[in-house]
Amino acid sequence: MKNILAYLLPVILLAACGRADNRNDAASLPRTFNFEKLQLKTISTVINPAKGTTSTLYGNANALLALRVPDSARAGEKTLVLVTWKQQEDARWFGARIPAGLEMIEVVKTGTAFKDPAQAQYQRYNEKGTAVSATNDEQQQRIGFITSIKPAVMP
Amino acid sequence: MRLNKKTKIVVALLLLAFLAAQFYRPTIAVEKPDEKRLAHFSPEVDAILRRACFDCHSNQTALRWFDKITPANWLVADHIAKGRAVLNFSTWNDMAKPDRNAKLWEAVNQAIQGAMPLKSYALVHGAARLSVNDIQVLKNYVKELAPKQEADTAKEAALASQYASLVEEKARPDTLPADVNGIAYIPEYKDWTPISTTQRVDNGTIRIIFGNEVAVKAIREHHTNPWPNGTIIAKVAWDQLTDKQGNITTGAFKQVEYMIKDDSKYKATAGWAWARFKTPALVPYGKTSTFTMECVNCHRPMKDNDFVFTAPIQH
Repeated sequence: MKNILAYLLPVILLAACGRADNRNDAASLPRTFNFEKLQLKTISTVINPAKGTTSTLYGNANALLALRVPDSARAGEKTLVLVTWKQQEDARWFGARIPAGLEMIEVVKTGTAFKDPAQAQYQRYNEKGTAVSATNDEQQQRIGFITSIKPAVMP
Repeated sequence: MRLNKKTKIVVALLLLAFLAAQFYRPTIAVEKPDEKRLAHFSPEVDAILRRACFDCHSNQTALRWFDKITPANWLVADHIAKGRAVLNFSTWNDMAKPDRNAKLWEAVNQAIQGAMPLKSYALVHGAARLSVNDIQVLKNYVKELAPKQEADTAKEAALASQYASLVEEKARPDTLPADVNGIAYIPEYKDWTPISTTQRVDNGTIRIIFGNEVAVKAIREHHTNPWPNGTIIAKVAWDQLTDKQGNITTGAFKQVEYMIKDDSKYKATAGWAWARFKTPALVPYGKTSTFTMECVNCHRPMKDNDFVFTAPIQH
């Protein structure tokens, strides 16, 4: 029996060790946030070099159109989600910077135009997907920033 | 040991065949450099490149005696032909400046990842091996070539013009373009899930990488090495636009690139179809069907990662 194991062990190890799975685990979104269920479109991406963060903005179709034509007073619920990561040097390409650990997720919702930040609701989540508080001033400042991002040109 | 007569005849015949084979040799053209076209960087960088790269990536190949023996010379000639086709420092200045910079960054990345110089070549040409210090010299040099991050009115104007056509929905051509290999532009990428983003300091672009449903499922199930057939990865690149606060966001659209996985259909190109469409007019990249070798060569350092640079983020 021992002999059989001695022969089999290397085979089992080889099969188990295959090629390493390719994932950026630290940057992955918490399952509890249910990003998929929101069925959002990708709007744009913003880097803050001073803070060393990189963010991607997502939104529902209403929000995307409202950002594209800021003066349009489109009816209906608009949802924007800004996900922010720490940045890191890309070990696979010298000259590239990619997302590292997740920092926070911010959600802005409004039924009116984005021009009217006082009407918008703001919620912030930490890297674990837990809701965290923000002061009123902070909320207004973040709503202003998030709703000022222009959608990227995607032909 | 005494050899019998039969063995002696066999050895003699083999020796004769080997000698005869020496008359059958490939031509490896070696030219004097044309100074106007030849690459010149800093003296330090020049010394490294001439020592480690020039044998295969220039017309100034210095063949050693053992490179000239048949059959080794056929292998050497093949390496040189392929090397010169990909990158030739003797005709370096024929390229436009942005292309030269991109090529040098790529070469340095190939060296960092250990893909170049080729292991088989470095094994017998010891002087070609790159030290940690050599790599650092190359890194420091290319860093200086990176475009500066600053507000740029020309970039703002380029975006404004694209934006106007986008809002009027004039940007996209009526029929979807396809490239020389028949790979068509896939407009649905915008509705896929972004699996990562990249700030490319080397070429002043900012990118979002999208994955189709097959890719997203593979990420969730930890099946990304290799990726399953049906995976499509779309990488969209824009100019970096720096605002007054110093934030960098997406400027004018530059291109979208696709990698489409089918390990049998695209076996010759590492299991992927490769395509690139440039500008909002979606001009297909590549004049001949073999342009995909450029893609494969650049991605080769990622061969143990199914030729994919992106480390995908699960959403």
